[in-house]
Amino acid sequence: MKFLIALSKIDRRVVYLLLALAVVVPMIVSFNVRFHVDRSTRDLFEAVDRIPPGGQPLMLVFDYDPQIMPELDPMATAILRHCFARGIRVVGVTTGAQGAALGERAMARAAAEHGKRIGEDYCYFGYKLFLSMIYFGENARRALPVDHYGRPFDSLPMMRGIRNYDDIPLVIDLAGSSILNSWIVYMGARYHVRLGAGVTAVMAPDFYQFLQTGQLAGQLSGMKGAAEYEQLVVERGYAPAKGLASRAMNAISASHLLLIALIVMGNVGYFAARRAKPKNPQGGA
Amino acid sequence: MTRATGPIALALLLALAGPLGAAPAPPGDARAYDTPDDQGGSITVEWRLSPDDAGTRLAGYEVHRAAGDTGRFQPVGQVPRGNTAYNDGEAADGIDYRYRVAAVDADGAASAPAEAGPARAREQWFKAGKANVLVATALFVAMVLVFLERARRGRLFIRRLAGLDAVEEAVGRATEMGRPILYCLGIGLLDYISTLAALNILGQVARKTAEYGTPLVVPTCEPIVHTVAREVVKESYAAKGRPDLFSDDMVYFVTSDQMGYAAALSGIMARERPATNLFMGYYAAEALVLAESGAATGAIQIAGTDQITQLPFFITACDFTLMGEELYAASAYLSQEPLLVGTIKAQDFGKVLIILLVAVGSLAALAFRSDVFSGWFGIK
Amino acid sequence: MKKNVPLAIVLVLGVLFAVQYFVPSRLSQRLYDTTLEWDIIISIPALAIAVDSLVRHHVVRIRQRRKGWGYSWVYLGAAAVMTAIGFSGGISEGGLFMNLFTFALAPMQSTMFAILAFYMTSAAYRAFRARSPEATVLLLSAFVVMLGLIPVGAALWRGLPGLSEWMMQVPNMASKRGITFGIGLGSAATILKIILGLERSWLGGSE
Repeated sequence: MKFLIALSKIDRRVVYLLLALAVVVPMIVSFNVRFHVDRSTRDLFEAVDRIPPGGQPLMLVFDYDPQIMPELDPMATAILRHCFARGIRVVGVTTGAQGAALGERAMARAAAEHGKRIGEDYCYFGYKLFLSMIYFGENARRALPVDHYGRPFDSLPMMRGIRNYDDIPLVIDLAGSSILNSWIVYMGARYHVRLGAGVTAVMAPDFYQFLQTGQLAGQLSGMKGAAEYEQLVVERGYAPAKGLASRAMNAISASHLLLIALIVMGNVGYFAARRAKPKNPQGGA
Repeated sequence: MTRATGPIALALLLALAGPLGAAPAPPGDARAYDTPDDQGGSITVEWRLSPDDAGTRLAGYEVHRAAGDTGRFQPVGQVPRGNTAYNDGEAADGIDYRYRVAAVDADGAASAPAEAGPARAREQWFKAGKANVLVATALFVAMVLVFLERARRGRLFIRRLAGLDAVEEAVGRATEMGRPILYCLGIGLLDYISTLAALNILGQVARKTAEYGTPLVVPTCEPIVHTVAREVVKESYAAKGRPDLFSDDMVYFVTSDQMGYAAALSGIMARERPATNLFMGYYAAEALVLAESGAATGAIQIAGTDQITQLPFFITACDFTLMGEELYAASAYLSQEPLLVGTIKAQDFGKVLIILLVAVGSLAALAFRSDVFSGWFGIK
Repeated sequence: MKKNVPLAIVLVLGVLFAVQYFVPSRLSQRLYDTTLEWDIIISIPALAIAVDSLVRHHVVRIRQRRKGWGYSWVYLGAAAVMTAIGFSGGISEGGLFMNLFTFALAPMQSTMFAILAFYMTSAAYRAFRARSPEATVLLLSAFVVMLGLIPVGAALWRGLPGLSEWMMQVPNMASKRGITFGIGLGSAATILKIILGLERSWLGGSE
């Protein structure tokens, strides 16, 4: 009985250690599993896949900072691989100062893998105020006069003919904060921009309502969303192998199982303790 | 010989005829109208998808525009396939424009155009699409005014909230222990309602700490919120006649970085060991870091946020949690001003009204949308 | 007087922008755009006040040798070094500033975020008990959602991911919408109280 009761009183440091092992071990010993793809992920993938290659560009917004980079960077990479493999042009931008370096790295890496040229196949505008992105709805050229590297808008061949959001078939905002709400309210409602999203797992339930109302064309939720997107990219033949998110999914699976086990143990201990309590002397059967 | 030339000639004929007959099918039912609810300068053109839109050969639609009855058609824009509308944002007000929409394939071959117009852009002075919002707002303002009047005449009964009764107790506890109260305003900007509510509660808490002489620590995360928070605390101490107890050092800016803020506050909790931690306002992922760090120090913790995803974390790690609108109402409860309490009654009536509307709307949808109705009951 | 002026400004601008929301005309749009610009202008001096407050706070801590004053040196030193490097060497990719950002700041921030997983596990372990029928329902739904998110769930029962998605999209959304209605009305009431000058706690109270 004592052992059972002890199950509900494991020291928090032991819990931390168990979790660390559950995360680290599966990252080292990697195994490949196939998983269920949520409808919201599939919807976003299809929305990207429908953009005609070599035509109007997709806009990818890197609204994240280093703290949530582990969750959102794999999303950016998976989407960029999909676009570049299919020949879809991409415009990158961020409305958070700390996202500028992260976006630049993600775009440069994916472009190098696929031999894409800046200015023709992709553009990167770096950090812009959110107000500038609202203004993009009125006049793209004036909202983004120069790119991240100081080149004027008009000197970028793929940006010719881009007047405002009417010429951007899809905007995907990768965010870990309420900035996505602002994209939905300003760009979605005001300029009728077709929006997709990638958010941290913690934030994901906040945006389900926008999926239901159709204000978001699709959504990637946390590492799982990134892993699902990677799986779709591989299944459609756009990439030979899955990426980092799929490997991290093993760690996520292990940690979920650990959590379930801990909760079960806690409850076993809780009921054992309740049973072990001295019975009420007046209480008959 | 003749037998063989037949199919070859046919293939040749088809190959030649191919590009000629390849013009895509035109879009249907085009119409142009002044874009509603805008500042003018814009006309919306709509059409039905070309029958060829379903395949992959169509590139998109090209929109041409002509001014007046006699003007020449000029291209104004393109949209990719799958789209049924184009917003012409370069139309001058008061001029009649005619439009032509043609489906275009990847080789540049265009269909026969669908014609629309004439249409004229106008500046509007009322957003007709927001009339429902206006009616709802007017109704709600009227309810608030009615209940304010009733509150002015006599006290309205409002149920107590355990979390708010605890605030008073928590201030007392900190005073007895001689330890500070930590007040955290979250990471929201000043225009978030939750931040405004948190500032209102801060005003009430600061009045209590001024009264009892309890040390108050308010580390902030956003420059504008910081400036306002400092004024709020200063004014509260002045209002209680204790400006001597206020120091600039009570309210200080930490960082506008989310996790940096969480780290700094965890450090403050571990070093200064406040007796009470109050977390009010807008929170995201840092909520649990703050609440768990505070729980480990044994402080009484009261949280309040309208961020639904963070509520489970606060409920788990804090002693009391104000959920959603309870946060907004907190200042009214704490001050016990009858006029403020009146607005809470109006909110309750607003909720009853919404529940009725949702119920009526759902029933109507069930009754009149035969597919839902029959689907549920298996009727064909 | 000191309180009446801000209250009057709030009343006038509050009503003006409530009306502006319903008027799409050019004049109204220009008014709105100008206010957005003011917002940016106001935020810059506020940032200066905030930085001033931060530096003062740490200088006072060091002077008074308050508990943990050594950390204040770490803070002031780090802030000074990052600012100096940023101004002298620029912030382009590959520079010292960016390297500090990538290899020091980024991992530290990611670490703070990752701590969340540990706190979540420990909090769930402590708090999730089948104490009552309601708590048991909550516990079981948590199991379904967690298993539905990982491949093991689908291996146990094929319908599990679908059930998990349904629970998140339907009952979860229904309760969230219920709370959201309350939040919407609460927001409107709070704004009304401030505009009408009934709520004055933000001015330090009515006394």
